[in-house]
Amino acid sequence: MYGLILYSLAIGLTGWSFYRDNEKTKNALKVALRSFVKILPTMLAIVGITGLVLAIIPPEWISTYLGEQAGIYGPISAGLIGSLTLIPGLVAIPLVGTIYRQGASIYTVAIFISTLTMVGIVTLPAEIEQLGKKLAIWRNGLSLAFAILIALILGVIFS
Amino acid sequence: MKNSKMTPKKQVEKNQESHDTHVHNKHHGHSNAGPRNILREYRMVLLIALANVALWLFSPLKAGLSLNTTSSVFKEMLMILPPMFVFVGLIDQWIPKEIIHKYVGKDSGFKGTLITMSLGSLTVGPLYAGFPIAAMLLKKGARLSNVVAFLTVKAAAELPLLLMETKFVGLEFALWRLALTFASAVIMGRIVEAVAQKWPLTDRPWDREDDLEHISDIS
Repeated sequence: MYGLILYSLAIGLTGWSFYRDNEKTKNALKVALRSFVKILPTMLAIVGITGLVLAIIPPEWISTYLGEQAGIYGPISAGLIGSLTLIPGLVAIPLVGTIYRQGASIYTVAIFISTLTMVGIVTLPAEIEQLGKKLAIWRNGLSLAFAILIALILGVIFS
Repeated sequence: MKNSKMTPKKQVEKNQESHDTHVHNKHHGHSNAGPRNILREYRMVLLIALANVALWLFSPLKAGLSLNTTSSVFKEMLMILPPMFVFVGLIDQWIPKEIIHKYVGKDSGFKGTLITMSLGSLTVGPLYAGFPIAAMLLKKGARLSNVVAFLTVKAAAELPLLLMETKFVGLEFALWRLALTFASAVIMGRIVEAVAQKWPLTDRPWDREDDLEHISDIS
């Protein structure tokens, strides 16, 4: 659905651009293609690693280690799994909802969502390629710190 | 050697930048696409393919699971990334530096931060879809703190994610997390900027102007 909107928007804007100035449009598409080809190997690797990781560590494993019986280790493993993996939001949020209803603590839920979205160890190579090593590492480090902070605040509010 | 290809004007621009040029040259090497280079760029992909074969020998079921996830994540990526790069190309050609500078640049103030954060919240797709946009914004003169805020919000507070969170965890939780994420985005932006002022960012891939140069080589 989002894909459809994005593609329509991209095609529409390209059409408009071509109508206004075909030289600029050609250059724009060349920039687009070149950047895409450049990032493709990194993206494919990320996709492949995600597949492998989720196959070796099945979602049921996640709910065991994050659920009620996980205790104090719940939030810690939630943070680790959240930082490491790139689980698509469509899979992750319902999973979090399930864990929550099964009795996982609010800290676990909060830290899982925050680290999952803000910190990306698996996508780090792509980030380094586009934004440079220093910026990528600082951004992810700070994101981890703030993800923990956000989770702590949410935990205090909702406990 | 590589510099000889540049026009004198570009050379002056490059020289004015304080960061070291060997970083650029290293990346310039990437652009010659020989079969050797392609093999090197895709070595990780090949390794993963081999790992999948190994997994298949060990457990065909797990390998099937892995390939299933890979293909669904790949499809998601194909839904989002190519249009993103088209937007990046169009921004590159149509939006002049002055506009970016005026609205989200150094002197844009808090309004600039609000603009980038709204952009981050409204765009869809995973965090990695934001990297090329962020690089383009930086190249066009956006303020570093605003770009970091954009990425943070894009990652943790985009609209589709919040809608899902509301459905599965609860509205109050989602709203609180949203507010905290926005606050963190602003603070993190300022911290990264302060850090970059003290220790300048030496690797700045977005400043590599090789994109269009290389293209004019082809055509």
